Amino acid sequence: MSEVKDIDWFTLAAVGIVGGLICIYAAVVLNAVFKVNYFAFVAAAGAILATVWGADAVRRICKYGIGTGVPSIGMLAFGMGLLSTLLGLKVADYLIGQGTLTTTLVTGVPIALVLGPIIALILSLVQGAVVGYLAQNILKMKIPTMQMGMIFIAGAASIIYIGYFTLITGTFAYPTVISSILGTGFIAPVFMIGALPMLHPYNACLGPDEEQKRTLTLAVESSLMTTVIFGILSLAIFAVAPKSDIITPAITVVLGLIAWVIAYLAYWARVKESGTIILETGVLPKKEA
Amino acid sequence: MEPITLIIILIGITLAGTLVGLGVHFVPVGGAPAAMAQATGIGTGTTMLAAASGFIGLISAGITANDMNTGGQLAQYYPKFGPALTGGTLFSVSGITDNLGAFALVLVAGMVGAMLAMVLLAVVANVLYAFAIGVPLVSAKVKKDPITGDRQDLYVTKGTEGHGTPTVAVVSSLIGGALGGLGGSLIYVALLAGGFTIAAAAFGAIGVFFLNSVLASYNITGTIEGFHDPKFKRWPRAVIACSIATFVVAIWAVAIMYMGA
Repeated sequence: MSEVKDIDWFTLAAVGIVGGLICIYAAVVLNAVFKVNYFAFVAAAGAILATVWGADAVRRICKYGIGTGVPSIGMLAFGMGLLSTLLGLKVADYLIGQGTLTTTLVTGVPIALVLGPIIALILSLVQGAVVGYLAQNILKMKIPTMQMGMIFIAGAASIIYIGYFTLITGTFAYPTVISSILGTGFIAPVFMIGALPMLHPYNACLGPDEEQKRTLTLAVESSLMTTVIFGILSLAIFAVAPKSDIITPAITVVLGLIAWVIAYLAYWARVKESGTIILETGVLPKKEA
Repeated sequence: MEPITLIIILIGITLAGTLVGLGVHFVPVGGAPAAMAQATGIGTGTTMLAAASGFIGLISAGITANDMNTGGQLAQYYPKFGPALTGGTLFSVSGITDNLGAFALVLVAGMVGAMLAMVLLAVVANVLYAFAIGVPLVSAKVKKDPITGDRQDLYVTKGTEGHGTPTVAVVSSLIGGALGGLGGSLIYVALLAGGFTIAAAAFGAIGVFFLNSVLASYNITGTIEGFHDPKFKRWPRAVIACSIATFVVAIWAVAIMYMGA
């Protein structure tokens, strides 16, 4: 059923890394330039692009059968990505604390802060490479896509983390992430619901007629649902004093819902496309003629 | 923080992650076939089992550590634990020798929590298997149960790989829970002593727990019955893989501690 050519996974990786980082930076820079929080939703677009990248890597690894069920790989990605992401953001915070690279791009966004997500991504890619090597060569899984796939899902997990951190708090500065994401316990939904859009699409679509476009449409659809949930969670950060800003969560939720409806209809169209017509033949006759 | 403390934390997290990986080999992970009573073990995948035992182990270890730290009932018996934890000297050489009792208490709390989760998952499901589905609890991997000596192969339905969680697998799950809980609570205390907040330490521990349990379950290709299963002989591979993978994660954690979490 693969007459349609799949999008190459390196192309998707480029889209996930470049698009993801640009969207996250755009959210923070636009917020700083206009001195508002309204642009937090742009970060969700970055997380969605990274989710598409990760979901494609998951489907390419799990195609070979990993024996433990598809969800395990999403949890693995988010488990190994958490501390490397935090370290990347911490390095940026440390540099600001040391007074290095504090030249501001725009008001309130020093260069050191911008380095955070890039360092986080690089550390996660390194972590993914180590785990991929271990899975392939020490645990002898013999999956040709394992090495590259592990690097990709770890990187995707890192960008998804930062994207949703920025969506919920409006920034990816380490002190804010620690107080508003980890301190409030929102890390639990970010860990679990953030991982779902990456692992769920292939888990739901797998089978002989699985095709890339349908799986990735489902990835977009489910990550938009995640965006709506995190938009509601961001009420707890934005709507209380001193920010007292109820518009930012409202923008995220409303835009997320509109986009979700569109994505859901798109996914439904894909499902109908790949469905087959069943001919009703009725039950077998009781007595042979 | 002083370098020796950081190195001890690094070694502690690595050791703990390896224990988690080893513990998974003892847990009777049955997967989807076990949920349909067609294979021996607990009827879910490693991810969910790791989450169940990891979370409950963390809650019990966390309550114990918090009680000693915030001046609860246990604080009067272990008065040095709280100051050492907040001062960041818990994992220095003197901190460890001073607080051996407190360490033991937190680690045992974690072990008991994880063991409880395991035995509840195994035994409550057994009641359903025996009385609702109506299958005997047997293993298909051994002819006789190594602990009770009961004959197994006669009771295995043809075309299946055993049903439920027999005695040997329950005992094995307890060992697995103990190792997993020990590892999980050690990671939690190490991160907490390094200056992480409670939430950050808990989720850092969960992250390392997931990483090692999934890697270990790749080693057993998803299902295992316990220490009597032939697949159990693969454990050295998982120990190597988990220790290297956790070592890398521990470097990130220690780097965050060095820069002041």
